[in-house]
Amino acid sequence: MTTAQKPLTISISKNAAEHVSDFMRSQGLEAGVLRVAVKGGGCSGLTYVLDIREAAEETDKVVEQHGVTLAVDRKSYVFLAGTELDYSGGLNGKGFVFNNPNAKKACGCGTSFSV
Amino acid sequence: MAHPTKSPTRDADGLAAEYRALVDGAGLADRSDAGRLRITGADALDLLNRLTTNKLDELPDGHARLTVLTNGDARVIDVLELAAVDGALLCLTSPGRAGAVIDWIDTYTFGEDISIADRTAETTQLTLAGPGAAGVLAAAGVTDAPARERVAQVTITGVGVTLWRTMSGGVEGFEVIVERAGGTAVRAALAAAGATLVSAGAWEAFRIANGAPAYGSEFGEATNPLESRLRGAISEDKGCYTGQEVVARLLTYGKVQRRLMSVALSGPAGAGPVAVGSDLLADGARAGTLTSVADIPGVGHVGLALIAQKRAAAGSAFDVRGAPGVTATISEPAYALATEPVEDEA
Repeated sequence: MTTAQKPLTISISKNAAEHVSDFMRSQGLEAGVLRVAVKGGGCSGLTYVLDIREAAEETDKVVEQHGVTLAVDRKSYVFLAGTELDYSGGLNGKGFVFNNPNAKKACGCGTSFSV
Repeated sequence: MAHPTKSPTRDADGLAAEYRALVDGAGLADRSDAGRLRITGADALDLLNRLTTNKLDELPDGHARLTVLTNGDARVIDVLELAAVDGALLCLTSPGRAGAVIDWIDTYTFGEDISIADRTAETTQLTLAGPGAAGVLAAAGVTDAPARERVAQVTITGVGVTLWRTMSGGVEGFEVIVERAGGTAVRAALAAAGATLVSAGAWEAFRIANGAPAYGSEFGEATNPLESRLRGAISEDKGCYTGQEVVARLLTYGKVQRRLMSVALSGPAGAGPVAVGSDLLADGARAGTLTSVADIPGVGHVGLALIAQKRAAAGSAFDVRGAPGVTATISEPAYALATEPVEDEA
């Protein structure tokens, strides 16, 4: 018997991609990439960073899905491999949500994690 | 009386004189074993603000601040003295911790503009402490010594030094940081100006007596900064930093489990040795652990201990496991009283 392994890439859900596209349109941006990275800090040690950029950095890992181009910072990639970026809407929603299989612990607000 | 097994090695008369100089006059200790880093880059302060406990959103040139590098569980990587000098950050670490601090910051550096140079081997660090310290500096030609949490570039005997007022010995003193080549001349000039050169043993006794916590003894990766009485280095309104959620929860719900306290050891002549790491017992049950001890001639046997919060009332007395007849009586550490924010009694 074989066990299917999760692909070591970054993905974005259809719902999250639609929200990214809507946001870019609302800002008058016809083209651009969603840059995904982590930075040090936040309660658990690492914090997710989302940014709309005109283009990816030369060293970024680029993934296209549901009409959105994700550009993942190379040093951050090791902490994000396998992550799905989702969107949680509604009154109780959290906005963009990182379903990160590397995160062993997350802080209460969910924007910070440790591996 | 009990004899600490980690006692200073100087002869008793020498140690007594050096200790008295630190308490009553001005003592000068060579503390070059501490780490000294020079941190530069446009993002350096912002990154340190995200990784440490104190508020570092701004640190103007000439200003200094104590902060704690904590992990996500709010355990202590190290306590850092930071100062802004000429567009760079100077950072003092605990002895032997410069490499660990650099590695920790490097792990959490992604796209930030930050560079860290380990200047430990290239510089000398002297600490001048005692009520006569400012007078010694004045006699050495430094009439504008920096205030607390301030740092200045001055000249002593023609040698440029960084002069930094800190609480490293548990009470106010001055760190004198100089390029290694100038260290001997500056040390001699301060001695000629009235400072007594003190040994590492006398400095350690002074630190313990004043209740200043040290890495590997009173803080480290087995403690959080609140247990180690480092609350003066914690900002409660700065927002997120690594470990902040744990610190906030401990403060909000009053869940700090241990409390660093000063200890006076007393007992009959011939009582057994008291070792660092000894358990302190209340009604036969473990209530705390001795983290540092010193035998100070003319003062007695003193120490520091991490005590269970519910047992940590000043004046409480404990037995010491393995030292029959020895009593450990606890009091509030001078360092904590001088640095912790005053609690609102209302």
